Amino acid sequence: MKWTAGIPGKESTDWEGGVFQVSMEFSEDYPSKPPKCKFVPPLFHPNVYPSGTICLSILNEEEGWRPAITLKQVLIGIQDLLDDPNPNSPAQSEAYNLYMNNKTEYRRRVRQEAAKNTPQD
Amino acid sequence: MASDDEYSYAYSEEEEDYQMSDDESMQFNPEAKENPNAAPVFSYAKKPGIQMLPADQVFPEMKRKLVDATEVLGIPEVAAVVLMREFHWQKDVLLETFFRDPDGLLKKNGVYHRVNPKPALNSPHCAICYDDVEEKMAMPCGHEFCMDCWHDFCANAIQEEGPICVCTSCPDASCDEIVTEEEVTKAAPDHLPKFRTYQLRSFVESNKLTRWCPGAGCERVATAQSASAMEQDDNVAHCDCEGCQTSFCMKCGEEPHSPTDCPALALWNEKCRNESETANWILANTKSCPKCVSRIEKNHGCNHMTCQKCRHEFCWICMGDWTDHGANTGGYYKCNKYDVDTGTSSGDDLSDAARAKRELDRYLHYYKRFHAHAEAQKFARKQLKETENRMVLLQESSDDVKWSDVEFLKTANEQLVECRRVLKYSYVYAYYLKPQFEMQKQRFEHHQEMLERFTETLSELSEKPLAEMDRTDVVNKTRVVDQFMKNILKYVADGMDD
Repeated sequence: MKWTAGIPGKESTDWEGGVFQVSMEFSEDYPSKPPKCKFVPPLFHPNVYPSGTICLSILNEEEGWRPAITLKQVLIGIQDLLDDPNPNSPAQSEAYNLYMNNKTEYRRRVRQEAAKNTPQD
Repeated sequence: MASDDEYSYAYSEEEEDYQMSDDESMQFNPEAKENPNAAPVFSYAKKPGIQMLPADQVFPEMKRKLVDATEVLGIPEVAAVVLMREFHWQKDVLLETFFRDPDGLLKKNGVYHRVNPKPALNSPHCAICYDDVEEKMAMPCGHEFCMDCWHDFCANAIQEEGPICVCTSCPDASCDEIVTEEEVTKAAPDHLPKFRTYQLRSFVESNKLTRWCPGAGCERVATAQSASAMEQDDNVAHCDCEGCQTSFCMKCGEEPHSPTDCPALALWNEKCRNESETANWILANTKSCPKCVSRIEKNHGCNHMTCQKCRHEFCWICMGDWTDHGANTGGYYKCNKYDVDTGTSSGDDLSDAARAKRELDRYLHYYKRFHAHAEAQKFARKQLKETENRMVLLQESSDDVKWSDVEFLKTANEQLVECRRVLKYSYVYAYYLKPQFEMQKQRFEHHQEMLERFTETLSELSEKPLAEMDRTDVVNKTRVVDQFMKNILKYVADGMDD
């Protein structure tokens, strides 16, 4: 089973205005195992792998996943991650390096990413 | 029967260079004098604090420890398992922490509600599948789920997560209460045996006083009464498994390694792994006869070699002439000492390369001897089987020979295995001896030298053809070599004080 969700960037953050598409793949073992969540297309973010896969503890079976976590909680978790990256588990070098060493450029890139993903209507 | 004098050790002419000082004089125990073949002379003092548990006794042992804890703490057994595991099954440490802040400890380890249960939330649906179901099961934290979801949850944890499944917490997202045997029993009885196995495994492995027997396929567990029971003065917590006959050190699981201690042995093993290629290259399994250069493969324990081709006799360890090793030439058995000056120029102004070479030479000196004794130990062990055949032959050689009259062969062989083992690790010990202990090092090497020399003698004696077998000599040498083995271990155990 595969779902697609749109996650809006929170208001008054650099992500505001953008709606970011996430694909959610549920295996046979759901909810014993978490759904596989991916940004499509891959997103500029320190905790998103170049493939788009999201590195978040509650989406990791060995770490924080519990069968009683709701999809709403998952999506809110991803939304929170956007403006609150976890520098302890970098997943792509570009966003991670800018986030650590050049905040001005990082924020510019984030706003650019939000503008790119703003729905046209 | 032999007279008593027969068993007191007399020096043969060959060994007259060795003058035994008073403190080394042999003190045989009177029992052994009466019956020299009664028991292996090297038998260890039974360590009262360590015992081997058969596989089916491990679970009751865990239960017994749990009952102890549950009675004092007044908490359910399933909660006690979690706490004891966290404290490596050290009850006194747990009790101390518990009584300082019981609630904090229970919360931190996910068993607070197990002790202070909350009523079930009683929602109409299961919080996992959202189906409306009547029959639900709640954790003590009040979170409840339907039996199907519970079953899948437990099954997934046990099958997919392996040993760590004993630390699984409540399926609810924000709850840290630990899922225990209680839930597994009710929700997934089909996976209960596996869960219990993991629980038992974590009992043995997180417990500082237990260790699986390292013997292949052996399921016995060594348990120590207390931490002090594992502190032996010969640097090893010696343990003999009566199930599979494996001997090991309870503290590190390796073969008993006295006089070396566990940390030094670990360092040594690591070093040998790193250097193995160099060492192997230098120490090919065969050596050339120093005289006629034909390749020789060593297949017996004794280091006194005779080339099958040219009859040249030499020492396997130093490759020197064997005639230099006997006392009759005034020669000196010098095979155990590393001489810093050989081969390299001494002094502090060595280049890095020269220093590295010297360090490698030093390592190889010790490794060669370690390796030679390790191989000899293996041979001696293999020999045990053949020794039994030889015993039968020897007994059959004459009508009035009893089985107890030939047991000296086995005793000698077992003694050899032990001596080789101690000699092997004595080189690890010597390698890590700090250079400033020059005096102690010399004394240590003296002990080592004696043990090595008499081990070789015994090895040679016991391999003689049966027709030439001199029982008295073998019995005496076995006893002597045992004493030398004890001497070196005692010297280290006493802190190398003279």
